[in-house]
Amino acid sequence: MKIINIQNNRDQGIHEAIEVLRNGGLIVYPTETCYGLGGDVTNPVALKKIMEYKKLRGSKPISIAVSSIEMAKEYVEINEMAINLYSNYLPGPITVISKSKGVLVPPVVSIQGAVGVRYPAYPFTLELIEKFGKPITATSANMSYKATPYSIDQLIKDLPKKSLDLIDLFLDAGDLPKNQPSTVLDTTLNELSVLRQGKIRFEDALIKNKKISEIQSRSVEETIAFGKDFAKKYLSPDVPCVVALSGELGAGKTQFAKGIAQSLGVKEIVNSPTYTIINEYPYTEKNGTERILAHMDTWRLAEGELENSGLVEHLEKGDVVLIEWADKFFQEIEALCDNMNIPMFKVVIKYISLEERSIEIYE
Amino acid sequence: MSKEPLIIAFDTSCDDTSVAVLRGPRVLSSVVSSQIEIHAQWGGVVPDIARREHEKNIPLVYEEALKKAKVCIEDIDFVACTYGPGLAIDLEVGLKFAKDLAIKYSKPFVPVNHMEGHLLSGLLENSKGGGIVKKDMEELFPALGLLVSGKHTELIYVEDIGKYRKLGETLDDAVGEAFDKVGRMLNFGYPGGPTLTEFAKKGKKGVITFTVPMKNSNDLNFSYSGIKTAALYRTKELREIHEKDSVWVYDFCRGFLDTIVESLLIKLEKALDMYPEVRSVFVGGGVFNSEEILRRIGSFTRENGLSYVYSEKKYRGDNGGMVGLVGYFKVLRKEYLTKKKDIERVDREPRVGF
Repeated sequence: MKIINIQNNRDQGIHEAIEVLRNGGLIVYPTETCYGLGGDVTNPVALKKIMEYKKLRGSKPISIAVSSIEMAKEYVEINEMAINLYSNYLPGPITVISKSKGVLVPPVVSIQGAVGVRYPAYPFTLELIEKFGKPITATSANMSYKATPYSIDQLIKDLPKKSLDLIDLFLDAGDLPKNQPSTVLDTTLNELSVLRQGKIRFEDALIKNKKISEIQSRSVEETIAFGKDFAKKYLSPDVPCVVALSGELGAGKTQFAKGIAQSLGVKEIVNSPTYTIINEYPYTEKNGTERILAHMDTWRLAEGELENSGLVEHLEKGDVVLIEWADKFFQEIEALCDNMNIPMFKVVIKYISLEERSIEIYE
Repeated sequence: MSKEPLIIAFDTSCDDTSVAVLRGPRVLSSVVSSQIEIHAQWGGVVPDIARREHEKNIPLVYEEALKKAKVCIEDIDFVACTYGPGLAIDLEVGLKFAKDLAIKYSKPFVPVNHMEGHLLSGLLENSKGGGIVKKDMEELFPALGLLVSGKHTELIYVEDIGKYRKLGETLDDAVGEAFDKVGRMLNFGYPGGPTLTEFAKKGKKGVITFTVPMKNSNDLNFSYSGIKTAALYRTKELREIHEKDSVWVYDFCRGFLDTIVESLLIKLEKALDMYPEVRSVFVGGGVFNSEEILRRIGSFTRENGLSYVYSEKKYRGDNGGMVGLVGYFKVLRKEYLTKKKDIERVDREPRVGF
């Protein structure tokens, strides 16, 4: 075990740290949040030591630290959302989760094939990683369930000898400011590219379908009223059907759904189903039959989750089903409707201005 | 019963599978699927697979909860479970598991409303064994409940434990949803809400402002779809002027957060005007994981001379502990089912309210 004060011996610190990393050893290094435990992310010996050190971690993955977006790109898929985070907020105290390219193995990859990437705002550490040429592990240097380490002295006091022996080099930068651990952001859910693909398929389908109605709404109230008119004209209370709604965040999909629900006779307040995924509203037909309106939102659903959402069950029961963000899963929804011979209306809501919207309805 | 009852509680109304074991109002163990090690991810964010796989998760989480509480199923006195609100298909999984368990081991069954759990979560005994004792509890009612999460934004009149009336709710989006969706517009990834509140700390007050929604409505309802649209337009404008989001994003987050807090305070104040007999404010729901929001609602409450009831951080989001607590209060009132045919008849109610 060796301690180098990097404030006095910066170059020596970098030089010796690289030697340790190349030999599969472990270092403790400073970041803008706390002291981290570093090892070569591609070296199984180093990874094994880290797991031994952290203990009691189960299969919790270990993040990696890079010195540039280019280095990150060698190991993970950087999508548009990740590019936004890297270009706007990094380096900084954020861990960005992206899909692994398959180079890395657990524990630096999760069982779902994702990697947490840190790009620390600490010049010494960036220089070290850059010169080493590969990412190093980015996990706080404390043992699992122990206090976050802000000083080397304190850390060494807290560590049992066995753990201490696993570390070859401490890079001491003195007491670090007590900043919070990094914020974790997952960029793998609701990828823009996936949404865009769904949208293209949805728009293709529109070209083949007949436009039955088009209107400009000047207010939320008009959007609701238009939903009501649509339901009156096209929905028969005893025929199951799907209304696929598409439009940007805040376009008015829920407002249009409110109109449909009011027209069918739903008494409750219809609010956004984004978090529940499906809201069920009971209503009574004119002839006294009790029915259910299902109001769905796919925004939070990941690939493959549509089948477990309850949509199929509602379709089997012959309910009227309204689906927001239907474009995201358009292929799947269309296939379901085709197989079950259920008619589908497509409603496209677009922004014209802050208040105004264009609403198009297709058969 | 000389000793407080031992209760096991299940919740599958949301993405997570949650199971807790309580001795009376004290949580012995509380296990949430996204936090148990087999699925543990960075900071509790669970991408793809583990989400909403209640059927796969529930036996594991159940075993873990018993193990951590150091009890076995035979020791349990009551089985409690959420029957709504939530996604029907998810609720069914928890209910079936809990009902089967109650019948198999001949334990009384307590159906619980998930929202009552959020509402009363502040009455859980804290991990140090402290908390609100029964003697003080009587002095808390009548109370107002403010529930703010990804799914809900509601104001509740609490006459007493078990006696509730909904005063207002969101007409469209919930607050947590608005946070996540605006976070999405700012390209933060999922969930964007916590990042938004984090970034707000670095922003300046009053630089970017939004109209407070429902300020002049005469009721106690909320609405957040308008501010979502306003935020979308504002981001478009700002992006035309500035090359980098980071120039304005912190002030933007500050302005957005302040507007949301303001909208909650306005309705809380209105409710207090309408119900001057109220003696305390209960808060619950994942949005209160933001310490700033928790603190600001708290300051307002205390300035009005009222008690402020909120839970430890780990019981603010969805969890089994709060479900068990509601179960406990129901047990005290003898509201539980013992006959097999009554237990079998308990059905999910996805839209149950107060």
